[in-house]
Amino acid sequence: MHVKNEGPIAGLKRNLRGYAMGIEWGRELPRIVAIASLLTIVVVFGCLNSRFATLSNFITILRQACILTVLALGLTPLLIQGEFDLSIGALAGFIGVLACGFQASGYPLFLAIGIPILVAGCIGLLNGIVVVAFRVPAFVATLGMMFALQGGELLYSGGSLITKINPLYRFLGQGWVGPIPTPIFPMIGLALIVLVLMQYMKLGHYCYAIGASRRSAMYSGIRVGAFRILFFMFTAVFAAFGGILLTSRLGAAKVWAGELLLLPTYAAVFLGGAVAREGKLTALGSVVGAFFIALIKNGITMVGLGWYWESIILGSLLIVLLALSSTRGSK
Amino acid sequence: MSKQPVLIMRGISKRFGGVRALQDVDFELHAGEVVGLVGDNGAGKSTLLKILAGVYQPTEGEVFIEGEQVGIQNPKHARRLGIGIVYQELSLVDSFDIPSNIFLGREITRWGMLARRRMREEARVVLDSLSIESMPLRKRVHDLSGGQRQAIELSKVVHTNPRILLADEPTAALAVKETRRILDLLIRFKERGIGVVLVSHSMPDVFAVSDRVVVLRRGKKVGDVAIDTVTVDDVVKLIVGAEERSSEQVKQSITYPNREGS
Repeated sequence: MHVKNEGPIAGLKRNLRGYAMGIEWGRELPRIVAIASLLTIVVVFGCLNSRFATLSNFITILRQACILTVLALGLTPLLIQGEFDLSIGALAGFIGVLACGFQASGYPLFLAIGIPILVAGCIGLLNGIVVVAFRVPAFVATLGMMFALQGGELLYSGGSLITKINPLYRFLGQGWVGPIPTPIFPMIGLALIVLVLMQYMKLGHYCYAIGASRRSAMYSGIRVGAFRILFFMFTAVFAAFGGILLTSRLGAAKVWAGELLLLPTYAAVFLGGAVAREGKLTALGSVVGAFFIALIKNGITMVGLGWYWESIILGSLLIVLLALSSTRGSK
Repeated sequence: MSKQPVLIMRGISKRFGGVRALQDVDFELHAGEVVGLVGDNGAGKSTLLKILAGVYQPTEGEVFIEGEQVGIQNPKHARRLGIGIVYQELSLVDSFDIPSNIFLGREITRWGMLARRRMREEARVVLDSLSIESMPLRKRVHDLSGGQRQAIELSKVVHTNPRILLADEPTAALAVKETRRILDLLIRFKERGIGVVLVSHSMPDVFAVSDRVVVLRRGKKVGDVAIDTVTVDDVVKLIVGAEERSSEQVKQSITYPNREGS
C-alpha cells in the first residue's frame, strides 16, 4: 500500500506493525515458540560442531530421516483419528528382523519383503480388532502387542545378530542413486501417497471427521469401526516398511533397534503438528517433523552427547509439544 | 397435500422388557404435511421416531412407505428408504466447513479425489434454495451460532432428498429469532412436498407450522386432530390427560400409581 509523502522507513514500520497486529498472538505463540526453538537448536549444534552444518552431514541426516519419516507417516492418520499405537517401534524391529532373516535364508527379495509386510498387516488387523471389537483401550492393547513383538523378535533371531545380507537388500538402506541415498525414493513415494490420501481423498477426510466427532461420523453413515481397524493396519504396514529400511541400513538384524524409534516417531508427528498453521496433525507436518527430529538426533551425536541423551531431549521435547498442542485446543 | 399417505404406521407396539413404550399406535403422514408429535416425557414420541429411523424394531405392527410395507433394519436403510432424521444432538463436525458438513458421508468424488469445488457450489445451491443467508461457505461450523448450525444440519438432511423428515426437538436450544428461522425452514420443506414429523415440547412452535397434531400419552395415541380445530389448551389437556375419563381409562391409569395428571 502506498501512502503519499511517507518516507521508506516510516512505511516499513507501518507495514510491520500492521502485520504484527494482524497476528493473533495468543493462538500463534506456541507455533512461533516451536519454530524459534528449532532454529535455535540447529544454530547451537552448528556452532558446537563445525561438521554439523556440512552438505555431507546433511545427506547423512536425510538418509536417517527416511526411516523415521516412513514411521511417522504411518502413524499420523491413526493419531488424527484419535487412536494410539505403542507397538510401532517393536513392529518395525520385528518385521525388520523377519525380512532380514528371510533374505538371509535365500528367499527372493520380493518374498523376503512381501511376506513380512503381510504379517504386519495381520498384526495391525489384530490390534484393530482388539481395540474396536473388544473395546480394549488402544494404549493398553498396543502396549501388550509391543511386548509380544519384542518377544517374537528375540525368539526368531535367537538373540543373535543376522549379518548375512543380500547385496540387493543392503542397497535399499545403504545404497546411492547418484548423489542421492536410496531410501529417499521409497520415502518420497510413500510420502506422496499419504499426502494425497489425507488431503484429497475420502479416506483421509474421514480420518479427520472421526477424530473430531465419532458420533457425527456415525450418524452420517460413515462406518467408523471398519475405518479404525483399517488404519491400525495402515500404521502397521508403514512401520513394517520402516523396519525393513532399518535393518537394510544397519546391515544386520539388531534386536532393540526398532523399539528405540517409538519415541522419535511420536515426537516427529507432534512436532509437525506444532509448527503447522492450525496445530493440526498433517502428513506434510510429519515429514518436516521427522526431518527435524533426525536432525536433532544427529546433532546430539555430533556434539558428543551420548545416545542416552537422545531419550531425555526427545522425551522432554515431546512433553512440551503435547502441552502446546493442548493449549491450542487441537488433538 | 396428496391423497395417499406417504407413511402409514399401523398397530405399532414396542416393548422394552416389561415396559410398554408404545401400544397399538396408528400414525399417518402425507407428503407436504407437517405433523406435530407431542406428549409428555415418556409418552413414546422418541420411540416412535427411532422406529422410523431404524434404530428400533417394532414389537408389533406394520410400517408402509408409499403403500409398500417395509421393515426398517438400521439407520442406513432408513436413509435409503427416504427417511431423514435430525437428531437433537446434531451430526456436524465442528472443525469442517459448511460444504464438508452438508456432504458428510456422501461426498462427491472425481477419480477418487474429493470434488471440493463442486461440493461448494452445490452447497451454495442448497442453502439458497432454502433461503438460508449469510453463511460464508469457508467458515468452520464451529464458529456458527446454534441456529445456524441447526440450519446446516437441516440442509444436510434435505440434501439427501428425503420423502419423510423426522425432526426431534430442533428448536430446543435456540433463541427466539433462530427458532423462527428453523420453523420457516420446516415450512419450506413442506412446500417441497416432504412429509415432516415435528417432535416438540413447544406448543407455540407446533401450532406455528403443523397441519395436524398427534398426541401420545403413556405409549398410546390419545389425539389426532387438525390444527385449526383445536386450541393449545385442548392439546395440553390431551397431553396430561386432564379431560373427563371413561372408566376404562381410569382402570388403566391405576396401573401407573405414580403418574396421575403430571
